[in-house]
Amino acid sequence: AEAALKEFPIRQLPRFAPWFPNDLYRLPFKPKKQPPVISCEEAEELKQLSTPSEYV
Amino acid sequence: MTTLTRQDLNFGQVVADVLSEFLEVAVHLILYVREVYPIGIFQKRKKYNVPVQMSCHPELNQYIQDTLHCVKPLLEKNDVEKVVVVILDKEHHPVERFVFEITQPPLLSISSESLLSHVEQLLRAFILKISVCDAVLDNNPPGFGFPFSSLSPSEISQLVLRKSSPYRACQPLEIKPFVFQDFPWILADEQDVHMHDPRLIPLKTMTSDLLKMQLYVEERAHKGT
Repeated sequence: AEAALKEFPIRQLPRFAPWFPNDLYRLPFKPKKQPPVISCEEAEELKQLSTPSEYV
Repeated sequence: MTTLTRQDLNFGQVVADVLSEFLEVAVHLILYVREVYPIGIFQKRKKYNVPVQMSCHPELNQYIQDTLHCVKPLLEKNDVEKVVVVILDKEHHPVERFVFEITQPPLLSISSESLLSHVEQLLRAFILKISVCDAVLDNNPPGFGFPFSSLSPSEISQLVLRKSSPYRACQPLEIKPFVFQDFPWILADEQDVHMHDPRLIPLKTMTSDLLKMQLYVEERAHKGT
């Protein structure tokens, strides 16, 4: 337990910085298609359908 | 210790396999943690030896798979700077951006056969950080997600920044055309990228012989406005 109370060397915390900051002159790509809309009703139906399979 | 170049043993493909599998798990978990979709579509799975939540909605799963299927050849060629999961509000302005910055060292020092399992341990740390990141992020705007409303079609989008992509309007990705036949990509809008005075929240940095990766969140200062 004494060893745990002793001073120990502390490393300097590195300062966070993004490696590749945003650059509006170099725009990225994105999928043209948009992700699906999922309503709460559809989610509920899916949950009911998938629940029994968890116990198979 | 043996030093190999990235071309040896097809390490580019190994890294692309590892990364695309990880990104798939991470995207599902981000959607769950940030309540982008109703929690009813998610099921608990075990990945990297920790519990994660994965969607069981076929159309959403296909969308994520198609996206990452297109990213994989770029990862293989070490041609990706970052992959960003953008969460948009109803006006299609970003409220949060989960930024995965990726670099691959040109030389690999193969010191042990446990290299891959070591990387898996490091990736697990990213998953654990994503699981708890809601504690350091502000809530998203009212009516934004579960359980109060269904979402507008473009509330998530994935952006990929290539190392060699100068600003050229609507330049298609130059990879195998058949991959993109049913899943085309377009140049992102400025509004997808630009966020006024964002708050930067670092989540995790890893350094390994195989790859270096850093994850942080850019959060809009006033989400409700």
